[in-house]
Amino acid sequence: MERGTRSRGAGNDTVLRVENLKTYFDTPEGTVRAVDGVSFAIRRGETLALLGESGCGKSITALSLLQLVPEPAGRIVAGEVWLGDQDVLALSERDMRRVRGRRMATIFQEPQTSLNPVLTVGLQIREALPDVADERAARRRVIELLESVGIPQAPERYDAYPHQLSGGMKQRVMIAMALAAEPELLIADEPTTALDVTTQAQILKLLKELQRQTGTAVLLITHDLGVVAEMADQVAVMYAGQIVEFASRAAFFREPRHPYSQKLFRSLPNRLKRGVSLDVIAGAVPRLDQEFRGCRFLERCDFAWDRCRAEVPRWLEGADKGVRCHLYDPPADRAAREPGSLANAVASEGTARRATPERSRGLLEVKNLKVYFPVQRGLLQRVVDYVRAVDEVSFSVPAGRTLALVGESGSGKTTVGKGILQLIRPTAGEVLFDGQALTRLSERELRPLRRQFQVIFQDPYSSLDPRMQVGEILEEGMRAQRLLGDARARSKRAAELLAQVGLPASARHRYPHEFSGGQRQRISIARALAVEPRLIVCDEPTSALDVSVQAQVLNLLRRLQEELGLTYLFITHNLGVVEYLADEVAVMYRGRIVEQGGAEEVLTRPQHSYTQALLAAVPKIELPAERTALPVSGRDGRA
Amino acid sequence: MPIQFVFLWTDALIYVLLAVVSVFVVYAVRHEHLRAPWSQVARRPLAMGALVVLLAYVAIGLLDSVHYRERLAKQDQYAAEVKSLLDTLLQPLRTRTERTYSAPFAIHAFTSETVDKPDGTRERAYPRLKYGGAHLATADERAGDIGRRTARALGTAVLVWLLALGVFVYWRRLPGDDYRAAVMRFIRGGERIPWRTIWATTGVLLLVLSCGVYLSPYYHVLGTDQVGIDVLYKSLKSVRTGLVIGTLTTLVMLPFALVFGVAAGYFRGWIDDVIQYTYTTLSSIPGVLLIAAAILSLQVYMATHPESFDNVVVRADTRLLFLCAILGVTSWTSLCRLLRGETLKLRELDYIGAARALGVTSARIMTRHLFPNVMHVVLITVVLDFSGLVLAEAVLSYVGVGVDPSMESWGNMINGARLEMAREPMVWWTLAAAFVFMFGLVLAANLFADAVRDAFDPRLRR
Amino acid sequence: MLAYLIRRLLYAVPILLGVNLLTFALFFFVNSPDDMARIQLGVKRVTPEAIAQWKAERGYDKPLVYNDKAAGLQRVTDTIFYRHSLRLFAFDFGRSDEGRDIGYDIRQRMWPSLAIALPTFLVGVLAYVTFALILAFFRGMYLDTVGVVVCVILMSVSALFYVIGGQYLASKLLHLVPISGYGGGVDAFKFIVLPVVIGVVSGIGGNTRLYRTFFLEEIGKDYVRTARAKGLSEARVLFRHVLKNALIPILTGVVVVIPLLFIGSLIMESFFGIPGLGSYTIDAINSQDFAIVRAMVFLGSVLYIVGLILTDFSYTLVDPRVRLS
Repeated sequence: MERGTRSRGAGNDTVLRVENLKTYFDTPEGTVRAVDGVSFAIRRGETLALLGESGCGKSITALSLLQLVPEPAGRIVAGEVWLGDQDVLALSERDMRRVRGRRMATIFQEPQTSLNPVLTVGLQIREALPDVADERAARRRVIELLESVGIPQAPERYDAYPHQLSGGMKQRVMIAMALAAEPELLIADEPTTALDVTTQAQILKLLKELQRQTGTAVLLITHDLGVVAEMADQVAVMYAGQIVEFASRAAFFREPRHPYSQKLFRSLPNRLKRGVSLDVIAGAVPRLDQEFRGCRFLERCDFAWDRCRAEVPRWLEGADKGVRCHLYDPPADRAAREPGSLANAVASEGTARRATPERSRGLLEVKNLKVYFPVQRGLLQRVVDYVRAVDEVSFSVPAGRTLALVGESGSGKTTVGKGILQLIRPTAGEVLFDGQALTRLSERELRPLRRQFQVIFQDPYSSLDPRMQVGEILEEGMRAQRLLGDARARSKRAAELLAQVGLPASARHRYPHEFSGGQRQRISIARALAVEPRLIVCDEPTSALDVSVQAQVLNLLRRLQEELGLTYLFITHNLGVVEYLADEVAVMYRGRIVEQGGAEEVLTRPQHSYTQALLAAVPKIELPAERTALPVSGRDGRA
Repeated sequence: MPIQFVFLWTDALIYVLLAVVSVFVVYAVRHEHLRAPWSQVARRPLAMGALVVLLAYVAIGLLDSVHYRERLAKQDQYAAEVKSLLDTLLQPLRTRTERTYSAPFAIHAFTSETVDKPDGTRERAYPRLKYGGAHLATADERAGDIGRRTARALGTAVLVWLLALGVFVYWRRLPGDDYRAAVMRFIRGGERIPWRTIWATTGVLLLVLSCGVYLSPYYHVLGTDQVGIDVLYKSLKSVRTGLVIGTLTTLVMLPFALVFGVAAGYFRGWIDDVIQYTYTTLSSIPGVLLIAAAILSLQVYMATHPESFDNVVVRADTRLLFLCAILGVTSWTSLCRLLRGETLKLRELDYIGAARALGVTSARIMTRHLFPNVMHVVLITVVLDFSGLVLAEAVLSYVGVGVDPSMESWGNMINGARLEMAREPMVWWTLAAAFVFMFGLVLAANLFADAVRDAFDPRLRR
Repeated sequence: MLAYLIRRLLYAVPILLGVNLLTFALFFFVNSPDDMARIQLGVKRVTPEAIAQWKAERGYDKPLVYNDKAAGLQRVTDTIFYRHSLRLFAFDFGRSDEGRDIGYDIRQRMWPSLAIALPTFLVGVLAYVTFALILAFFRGMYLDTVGVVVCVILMSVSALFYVIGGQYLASKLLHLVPISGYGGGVDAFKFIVLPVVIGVVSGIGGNTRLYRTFFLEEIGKDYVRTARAKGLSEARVLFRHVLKNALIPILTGVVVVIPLLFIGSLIMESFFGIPGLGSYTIDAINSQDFAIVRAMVFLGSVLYIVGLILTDFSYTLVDPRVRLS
């Protein structure tokens, strides 16, 4: 049996020790080994970050600790989970209930749905208090807890319902609930993924502060290197159901050892990589319903050799670190196969810059754009007020360039995009495309022009019609714009488009659900390209994707711009992407643009206080072998 | 031509429905997003058993939907009477009517009559039935006769079943399988499609059918009703009525619900207001009352325009169709509301936004994107509504606003029999027959609908 | 809140007007008053005089919507539409075709209807929610599976058979209660029990199964996972967290029928001979009394709309997110 990090956690202050945990799911297609032999330990007052991309099994690991794996499909098949000197997997459901919430509390990802909408927050926190003596004391304690997580006017908030609180506030309530019983272990499952970056900074700060006060051990589950850099003491990288690397934070950021960890760093977009392709992790996570003969990362690894195919890599343990890779086994072998130095790659690429073309007349010019939504009240539903979703927004995007529209959720950036595309008719202001005022055209007049400006949306799952084959999806635009007369020509063009975005021509006859998120996003891009547009509005095209997949899509967008001279309006909240891709930046806050200018200038010398706050909130990652702190957005994807 | 086909309105619509279903089947086979949930339905033993039963009902209904007139022997004319294929098949049942009530398998009448004895005296007695058990000399032979005929029926059924099953197993055997292995594989089960259940259900149905074939020519298996008509015949004739109500109602209302619901959700604005107003108004009238009002109007219209409804069958058919239409009007609204809600959700999805950005027209967005994506709602509603409609027919007929009183339907059977409840001993067989036939259809439909809903409702997929 | 109520009531006016127009069209356009007279008097022995007299007695001799013989406002008011349809808005139901005061009949008959329908409703909802909760608690287990199958079987039986079977069992075989009829005071109880029990039983299958899916849907949500992660017991999760949320979809279907309880159940009342509005309607249908059917259609619509408004208000009680404005 593999030892994992057991030796490390032998001391008395070990709060949690997980040994060889295996959780399998029974599906019609076979048994999925979602968690396949995971071992780790956490000490008192320590934060262990379980880092991994979507589907790697990190959330299932958390649910397994709590024995809340969805039944009957999922089951824990092996392993031990020692909480103090108690193996909780051996407990009955009744006894386990006393562990959950009391000794092992949890914060989930979605504060919107994780609180019961019809019960007051006070009551929900109260439920988590162990052994309440009397009503008064309980109420006092809950209010204390609310205050301790930084909720203002806590006594009044006791009777508030979740919908009356903002997302950040809800997450604070979740934290208060989790800490109510002063647990030994706090499991935070992507606690800030659903939050804006400035809110994220506050929540992370709060978590750290509370941990310092209470000495709780924290198991932090995240996909975000930025959050890891900010929070973790120890880092465990998970891939395909297993931990592939374990190290202290300092060691991990200084020298990530597993090829997968290295790739994760290299695929992060940032300023230094402008103008060059990002490193991508080719392929996809292997299916987990198979028996592995070799390394699970084999297909995607640049260093893979025969041994990786034939032999499952062992867990190699060193002082305070471990890795699961043949490169380090035996250690002597390592020098020969030293992975390429990251420093070289970054340094050589860092100098590459695109020449800035002459500032020409904007292909797209937005003047004083306003999108108001009426607020109706009273007996006759008179319009008493407007929600000013977009207010007096002006900018222009020169042909062949990229303008990034940056802002947090609710800032109105997506509404600007829809207003430009005339999917929402603006209340006032003008949208000039190549000198033509789109806002003044009727839907009929607009239709032939639409081929020139296209859109790519955020959610790869809702942006493709699940009932249409990919070929039909691609041909729809050509048909609507009457581009190619006959079916055969259209079909041929669809195949070309697929080739252009790196998909096989056979994809035409398949349905969207057969593709991964990244592939779907490529199909979305191909659909937009089908009508040969000049401008593409990219509305958060990568924010639902994992970092490694994001890199593929960003590379593709960059290449297409070079080849086809496309103009991008890039709507995003991810500053790393902005740095990598944008020529100019406009920062939106509450419906208005508070600052705009050249990307370099805005990001390095922000003038407006909001821009400054935004930049400050982004977790800093020290890239391996490069000691200058680089702001890299923390919100690259979702688990 | 010895016969002249008669196309009733409901017949025509049934054929349309058949065509629609066939087209849908072909479409579903070609489209993976429909094929997958259907194959999930096909894997459920209970659902497939129910389907076999449903198909049996449908077969009876279809036989009863081919209408014609026979040529009269002498004149160069066709008979006024419109018959269906089923009528012809059930000719003996149809024509062998007694004077009044008789119990199942009875050979004597249920009520005593005054009979003239050969010696001139009169006395009250239970006379022998004209047809039921007429081949028997004395009442004592009855039990033995029934036993013998039943045994023969069972024997035949088992034989036919085994033969068909043998052919089936042979036809499906894997290459390299010998026959014995194929049989063992069938018995073990565990195949994707629950063939064992299907064959077991078929077997039971065969037994019932065979018993009917062997016994009903000699006895009134389910007794006779007040005017002496064989209850088995009535029950079988009622199948079509139930099926028509359950399916045509949907066929009538579906286009409206689909187009209006989707249009209201997609266009919003004044179109939405008008459609919402329409369905709120319609649904605010309690269904039974609206149907009552409409049927009463129809009755008056028919009574004052007798020239348009010369034929009993035509009149009953028109009323049936009208009933379907008015039931459709009342059930239209709930589906329309569902579809509007679903469309409101869909229209915010990015693929609709992308289609609009590509300049795709609204009509095309509705037909290419919205209709296929709300189809599961339509399908679930259709299958779930079916059994409710069959049950509604009985209630409406009972209230007096259902199908024409001259039409055979379970509702009319119950309605007629209910008046005899106070009789001692009770006339129970009409009720029992209506109960069994209705329950069989509705239960099968419910079980099948359950499986369809489980397979198609995205919320139930966990 | 008040503004909301007033707006909803105002919105009800065009709907009721639509209902009115619809029934008016059904009864007076599709068939003329002459046709009705002929039906009422018997098709065979009708003289034009008899028809004219029949119409005059009931006020059906006026023009339909516009009276060009009258003067001023009477051109509109002295018409069938005004007298027989619009007056319904003032709850002036007029006289039945037999000459009875419909308004009086309705006031008399709604109490027996309510006496049956209200207990059926209350006991029913309580029973269905309880059974559904039990099935949801044992979800995925044997009891749940069996329960669902029983539900499907129960809902496959026509309501008529519940009534017939119930009457046969309780009254004829066991002689527990009278087979039908109605009496006032304490006596009423023995007449009410059987219809109420049958009413509740006939709804068990469908409703229990429906509510069970509501519960299961809620059980799958994130906040339930949070509640479990807090260490709450399964019963507490179900009663405290799930029940209140599942009440929202349940209320949608339940509250809307409360006002309609006044007009009772057609089947129950006619089977049990209860002199309520349900049997009133059936009698009217059988005797083809159009005035009563018209009045009942209007009354039903009014009550339905009241039900819709009540539903909205009931949401504010269970769902803190809903605020009426």
